[in-house]
Amino acid sequence: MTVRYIQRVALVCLLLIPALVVAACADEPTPTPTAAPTATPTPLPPFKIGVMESLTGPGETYGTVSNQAKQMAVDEINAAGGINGRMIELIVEDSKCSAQDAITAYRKLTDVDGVKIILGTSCSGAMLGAAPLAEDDGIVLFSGLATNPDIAEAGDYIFRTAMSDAQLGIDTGNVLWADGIRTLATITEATDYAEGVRRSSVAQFEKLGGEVVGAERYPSDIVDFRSQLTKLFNANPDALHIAAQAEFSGGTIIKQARELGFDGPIYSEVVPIGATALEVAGEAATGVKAITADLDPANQKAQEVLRNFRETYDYVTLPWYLGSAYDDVYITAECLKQTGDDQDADGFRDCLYEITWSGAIGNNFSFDDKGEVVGLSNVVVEVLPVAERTEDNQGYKVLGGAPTQ
Amino acid sequence: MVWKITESPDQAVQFAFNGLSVGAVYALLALGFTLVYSTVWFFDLYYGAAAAMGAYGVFYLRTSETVGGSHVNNPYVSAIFALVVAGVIAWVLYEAFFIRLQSRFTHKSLYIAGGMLAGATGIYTGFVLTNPDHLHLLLSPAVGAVAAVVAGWVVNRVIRRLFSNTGRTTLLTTSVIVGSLFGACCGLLLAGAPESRLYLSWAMSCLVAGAVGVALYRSLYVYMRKRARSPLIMLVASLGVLLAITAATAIVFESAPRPLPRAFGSEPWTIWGSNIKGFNIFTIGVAIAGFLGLLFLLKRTSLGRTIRAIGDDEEVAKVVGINTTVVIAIVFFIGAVFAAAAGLLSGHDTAIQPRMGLLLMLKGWIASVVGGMGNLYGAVVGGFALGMVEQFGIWDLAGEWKDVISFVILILFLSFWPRGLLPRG
Repeated sequence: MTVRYIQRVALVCLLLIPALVVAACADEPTPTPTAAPTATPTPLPPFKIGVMESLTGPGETYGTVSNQAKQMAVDEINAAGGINGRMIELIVEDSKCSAQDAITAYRKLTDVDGVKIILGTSCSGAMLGAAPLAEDDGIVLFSGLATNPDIAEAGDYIFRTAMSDAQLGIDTGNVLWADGIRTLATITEATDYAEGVRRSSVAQFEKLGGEVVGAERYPSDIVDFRSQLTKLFNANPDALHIAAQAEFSGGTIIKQARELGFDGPIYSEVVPIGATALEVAGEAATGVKAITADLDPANQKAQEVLRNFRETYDYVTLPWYLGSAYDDVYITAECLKQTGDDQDADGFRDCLYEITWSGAIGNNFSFDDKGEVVGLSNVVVEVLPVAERTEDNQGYKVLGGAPTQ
Repeated sequence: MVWKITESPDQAVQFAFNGLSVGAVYALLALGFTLVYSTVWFFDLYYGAAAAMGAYGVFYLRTSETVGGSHVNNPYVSAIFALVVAGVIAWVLYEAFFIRLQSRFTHKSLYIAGGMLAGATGIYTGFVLTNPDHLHLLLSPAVGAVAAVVAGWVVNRVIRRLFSNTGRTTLLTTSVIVGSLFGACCGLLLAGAPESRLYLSWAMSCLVAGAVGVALYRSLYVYMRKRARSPLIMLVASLGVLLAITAATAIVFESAPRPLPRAFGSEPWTIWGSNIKGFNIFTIGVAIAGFLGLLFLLKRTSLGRTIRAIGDDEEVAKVVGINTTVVIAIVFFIGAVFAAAAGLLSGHDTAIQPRMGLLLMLKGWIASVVGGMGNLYGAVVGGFALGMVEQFGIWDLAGEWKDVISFVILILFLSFWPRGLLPRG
C-alpha cells in the first residue's frame, strides 16, 4: 500500500517538473520565437455592414435587385483593395415587405451580428417599422429604396438616397394637370408606400384644380381587381392612376383595366412598369405613363453600373433603384474611410450629413437635416409596345423631366 | 338596388359578368365539397389545397419561369407525386380486385402483378412530370388508350342496342377493332399537336390532385373514421393538411403571386356595353357541365346509387355488399378533381399564389352553406349567388369590403337559415 502511495507521489512530482520548467522559461523575456509571426501583418477584420431587403414575398423584385447591386459594389471595392486595406462584409437579412419582418431582421443584425450601420430597407412599411428602433439604439439606417414621406421625420439616424414620395406626388400631380387630365380615378395598394404616393399625388392634383372621381384601395394578396375597376370606370374618369407595391398586382391591374374596355390614359409610379409587371400586362401596358426616378442616359457612371450589373447578373430591372443601392455602398465606403470604425454610428451619421456625392443616380446630391436626399429629380417615362421592348430600354422610353407646374 | 341598376345599366351588366365568372369557380368548389360532404358527412378542407395544387400543377408543367434561380420543374417534386400515384394505384387495385381474384390466383402472383402495374404507373407519371416539354408525346399513348376503351365501349353498346342478336365474338372483335383504330387516331393526332400541352397539363394536375386526395383518405381518414367517430377530429386533421400543403407550396414555389401561361379566350368581348373574356364564359360552361355530369353520375349510374346509399347509411351499404372503401375513395377523387379544376381556371383567369387554396376553400364553403349543405342544386345556386352578391355588394362600398360581405353572409345563413337556400330533400 505504502509502495503504491510513494509511486503515485513520485509520478505526480515527475509530471510537475516539466510544468515548472515551462513556467520558469515563460517568465524569462525571450522574444526570439515570437518575432517571426509579427513580421507579416495580421489582416484587419472586415467592416461589417448590415443589409435588410425584401428578398422574398411581394417586394422580392426590388429587394433582390437592390441586394445584388450592393453585393456588386462591395465586390468592386474589395477587389480594389478595400477601404484602407480593410474589406467590407455584408450581412444580409430578409426584411420581407413588412414592419414585423423588418424588426425581426433588425434585431438579428444588431443583437446577433452586432452591426451599427444597416443599408436598407426596400419597402417603406419595413423601413417605418425598423426606423424607431434604429433611432432609439443609435444605429444608422440608410435606404436606397424606401420612399414614403413619413420617413423624413423618422429620426436623426435615418437616411435615404430614395427620393420621397412627396416629391414624386408633386411631380405626378403636375404631369397629370399638364397632360390635360381634369378628373382622375385612383387604385391603390393598401401599403405605406402606395398610399403615400396616392396621397401626395392627389393633393397636388387637387391643388391645381383637378377632381378625384373614384378611389379604391386593395389588400396586397388579391389578384382580381375587376369589380373595383368596374366601379372606377363607371365614374368616367379622364385617367386612371395606379399606385402598387407589388409589380404583379400593378401589371394585373393594367391588364384587367384594358380587358374591361378602359381606353383612357393610365398613370403610375415605378412599380407597375417593372419587368414582371410588363410581362404580366403584355400589350395592355403600351402607352402607360409613369412618373419615376430613372437613370440619366447621359450619366457615364450610371451606364457603367448598368453594364456591369448586366454582365454580373445577366439581367437589369428597376435601374434607378439599382443605382441608388449601388451608390449607397460607395457613400458608406467613403464615410467608413473617414471614420475608420464600423461601430462608430455617430461619426458615420455626421459624415453623411456633410457629404456631397456624385454617382450613378446623379451628380452633387447631398442630405438635408432630415436625412432626405436633395439634388435629384423624377422623369416621365412611357411604356413601349411589346415589339419594341428590349432589355436595354427596360420596355419604356424617357419622355423628359417632370414639369414644374 | 333596382334604382341603381336602372341608373347605370352598363355597370350592372359588368358586375353581373364578373359575378358569373367568379361564381362559376365558387360553384365548382362547392360541387366537390357537397359531393364529399353528403357521402362521408365531414368537411374535407384538403379541397382548398387541391385547388392550389391544380393551379400550381399547371404552373409546374407549363411555365418557363425560374423560382429562386432554378427551374420550377425539379425531379424531387416529380418523384414525390409519382410515388403518391403509384401508392394510390396499388391500394385501389388491392381493394377492388384482390378479394375477387384471390380464389383464382395465388396471393404471390396477385401481389407481383399489382405491384408491377402500380410501379409502372408511378414511373410513367414521374416520367411525364419530369418532361413537361414533351407532354403531348408522352401522354399520347395514355390518351389513345383511354379513347380506345371509351370508343370500344360505345360501339359495344350501340351494336347491342341495334342488333340484339349479334354473336358475342363478332361483337367483341368489332368493338376492339373500332376502339383501337379510334384510340390510335387520337394518340397520333395528339402527338402531332404541341399546343395541346397546356390542356394536357390541366388533366395531369387534376389527376394528380385527385390522387393526393385519395392518398390522404387512405393514409389519414380511414384510420380516423375507424377510431374516433367524431367529424370534428377529421375537420381539424384536414385543416392541418391544408395548412401544411399551403406552406410547402410557398416553400417550393415562393409566396409571391404569379401568372399562368395564357390560355385561349384572353381577349375580351364587348356584350351590351360591358366586357367579358371568352375564358370566363368557358369557366361558366365548365361549372355547368360539371354540375350536369355530377347530377348524371349520382342519379343515373350504379356508382351514383352506391354513393347515395353510402350517404344515407354507410353501415347498411356495407352490409348489402357495397365496397364502401373504394366508393368513398372515388368520391374523394372526384371532389379533388373538381377543386383542382376550379383552382386552375381561377389561376388562368387571374393569378396563382400559395394562399389561393385557403381563400378559394372558404368561398366554396360559404357557397355550399348558402346553397344548402349536401345539395348539388344548392351548390351551384350558392356559388353563383355568392359571386353576384360579392360584386353587387360593393356597389356603394369600397372594394376592400368584398370579403367582409362574404363572411357576414356566412354568419347570417348559419344563424338564420342553416339549411341554406335549397335544403337537402
